Amino acid sequence: MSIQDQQFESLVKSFYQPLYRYAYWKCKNRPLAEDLVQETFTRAWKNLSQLKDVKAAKPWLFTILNRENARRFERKQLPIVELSEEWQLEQIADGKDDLQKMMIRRAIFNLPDQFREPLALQIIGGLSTNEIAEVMDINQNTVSTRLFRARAELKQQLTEVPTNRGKHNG
Amino acid sequence: MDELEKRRRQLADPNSHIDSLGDASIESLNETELAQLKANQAFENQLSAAFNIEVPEALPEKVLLNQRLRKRRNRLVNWSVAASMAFASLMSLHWLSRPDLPLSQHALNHVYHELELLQISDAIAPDQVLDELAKLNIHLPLLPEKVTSASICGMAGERVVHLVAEIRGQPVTLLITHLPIEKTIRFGDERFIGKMQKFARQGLIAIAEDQRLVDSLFEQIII
Repeated sequence: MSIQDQQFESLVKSFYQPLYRYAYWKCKNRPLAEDLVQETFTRAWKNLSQLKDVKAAKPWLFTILNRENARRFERKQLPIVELSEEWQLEQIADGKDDLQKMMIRRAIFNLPDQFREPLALQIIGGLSTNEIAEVMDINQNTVSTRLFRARAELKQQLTEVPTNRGKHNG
Repeated sequence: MDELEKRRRQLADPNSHIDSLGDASIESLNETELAQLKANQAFENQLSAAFNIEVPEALPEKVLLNQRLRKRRNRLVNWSVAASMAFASLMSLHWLSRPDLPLSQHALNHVYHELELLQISDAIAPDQVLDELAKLNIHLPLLPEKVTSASICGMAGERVVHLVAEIRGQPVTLLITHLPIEKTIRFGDERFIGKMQKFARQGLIAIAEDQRLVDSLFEQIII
């Protein structure tokens, strides 16, 4: 196995989980998230020589994933199928999930993309504000604002849930 | 950094803020602040758990397999491209090294087209041959010793004198043309051997089934 192969294998094994999770929260679709991760690593393999510093691997991969996702829309106009929120949430649920976790997931689902994406990069990827700004190609202050507003929005949604549920349940 | 900015950064990245607090700082917090800190910590843990959805177990193996397959396919494609390029280069070299090939091919085709001329054994008069040569303003130092056929034909879009001579009982075709022939070339196929060369302002193309017959014809006509 060549050094490049070894580097690549190491990258895959180190980052496939955060990349998949980020991809999922980006497109809200499991098969699509898997495709995105495949495409991201394919692109990464082709451009591995560009990665000079191993420490930069994580933001580099997230940046590639974002671009691959954008390419997905450039390549073809995918038919837009509105999947129900319930169905989407069921796809990521497992038997061990408690009510609290499911409620937070629902709240994350309802976040606008511009808030959910930096939050996912921060929590899943462990990226700094500066790195998120680079990955999303936006200003660092904008990232801070969006992260703050994302949390505020989530807390707001979570405090509203019992009231809404109470209303729905009569 | 003013207090507002500091607060904004804390809210934007609470984990880093919590991590950066030393034991001394935490001890200095009042009850309300401590409760807030714990609530923030709990919320961050909940967020982290909610984001951490299950990842397909076989995903890394799939990615690595996909990459290996692509690599193999690329190698195959590269090999195919290299082979095609090598073949193209070889063919180009082949054709370039034999710029006469089209004309020689025309000559061979012409012989095959008029094979029946090779069956004639009776000699024709030298004057008849000279007449045909004169039609295209062609001069040869000497004529073949025995000529069995002489005519004007079309070949490669040009008019040529088509002679058939007989040497040691075997037919030898001689095509005389004004088409440009830069250097002496030998050519042939499964049946015929040919030689073309420039002589004065004309090109001479001799074709027979035996190379020695071709050489003999040239010896007869060129001093």
